[in-house]
Amino acid sequence: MTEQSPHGHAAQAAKTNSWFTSPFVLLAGVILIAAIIAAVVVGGGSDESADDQTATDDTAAVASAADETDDEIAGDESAAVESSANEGEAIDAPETETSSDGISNRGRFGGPSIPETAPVTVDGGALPAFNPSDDPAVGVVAPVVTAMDLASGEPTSLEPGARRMIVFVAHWCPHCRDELPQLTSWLESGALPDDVEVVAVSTSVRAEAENYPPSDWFNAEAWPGEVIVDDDASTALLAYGFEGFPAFIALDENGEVLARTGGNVGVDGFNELASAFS
Amino acid sequence: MSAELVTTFMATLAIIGVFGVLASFFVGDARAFVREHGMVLAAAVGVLATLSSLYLSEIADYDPCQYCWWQRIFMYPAGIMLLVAAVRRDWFIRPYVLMLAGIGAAVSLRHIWLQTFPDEGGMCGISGPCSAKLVEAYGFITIPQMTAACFVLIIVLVARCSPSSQETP
Repeated sequence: MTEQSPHGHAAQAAKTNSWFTSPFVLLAGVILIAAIIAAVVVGGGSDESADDQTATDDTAAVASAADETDDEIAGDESAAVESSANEGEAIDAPETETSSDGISNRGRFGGPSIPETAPVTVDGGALPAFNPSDDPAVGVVAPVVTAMDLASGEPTSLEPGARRMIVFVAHWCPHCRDELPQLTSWLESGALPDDVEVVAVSTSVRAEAENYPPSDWFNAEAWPGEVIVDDDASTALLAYGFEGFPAFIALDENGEVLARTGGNVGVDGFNELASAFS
Repeated sequence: MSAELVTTFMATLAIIGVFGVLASFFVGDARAFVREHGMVLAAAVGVLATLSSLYLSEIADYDPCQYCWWQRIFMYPAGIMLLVAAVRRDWFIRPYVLMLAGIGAAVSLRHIWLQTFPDEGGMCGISGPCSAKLVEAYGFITIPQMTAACFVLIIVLVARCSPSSQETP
């Protein structure tokens, strides 16, 4: 007579009571059910899928738009510079229309024919890497970056000639998403001198990441300044010596760096940056 | 096959797995089944998590952040060890797998914490910060949440696995 262990009883119970007999049957069933649910969920969100398709189209359109932009930049860079200079006004009034959920693509940024990322050209050497304690870039002339304007879809160039505060943000970055509304409110309070041009650089754009497309984000936040878009390699960000965001740089009318800062600096940080212009 | 479909599929699997394991605490049949086949189920979790992780980085071109890499360090060997153990019916690897999954789960929890409460004053890097939610399946399930679910599933399944055929050391 053999003694059966408790484990043996458990196994016997499993064999006799379970509707499934093999773990592989269970696994196959679970995987099949999960696949069906996922397909229904992803396919069922028709509106979202349409949005995604639009986003994909936008990204796909980058290549062709990029070629055109390249041609324009190469063919008539001075025209682009003039265009930028004419766009001049420091902070334009927002023309954003936001829906009840605060998101709209009908604002002044983005649109069906405007890609969320585009090629960037840099004229001049990159600034030294950002160092918050003793910034080696202060007093150095920044390179001239030419990139696509997210409002017009036209190339624009950040040439010397105007005092500028340039802000680098990424739509998926939680720190940037926290910082942009604060910065918008601060700018609308008139804390920055009127002759300082404010430019946001939409960098590190990822179609698969949250809060895409960035144009909707800028519209929803009623961003009052200009927005230019970085390329897939974050060329503009790197040209100004940053490897992260949010990042800020203050330039004088000669293109020299007055100050740089990075991270969630908040209103105190904005004020400190603004003081560099005085 | 889109990344959204794959991540939704993974999130669905994680939800089913968590409820399945919870059921094993209360339902006799499920308890007996996990006791008998827990190692095979754990191996499936580990392998699927490993393959999903590789899909996201190698095919969907997601950049793994620093915490993602730490979780990979603990998930990949656990998945491979569990697969070999399940095939060979070698139950003596349990302490090693539990150690890997335990540390991995701790890293996942820290990652979830970072995503929920990003560091004040922080910056995001180009390669993808740990505080960014690159995926939100069903609007709320992130990659580290799925990974944490996988580690917990492995821990519970392996810890509760006690097949009748196992040999004592």
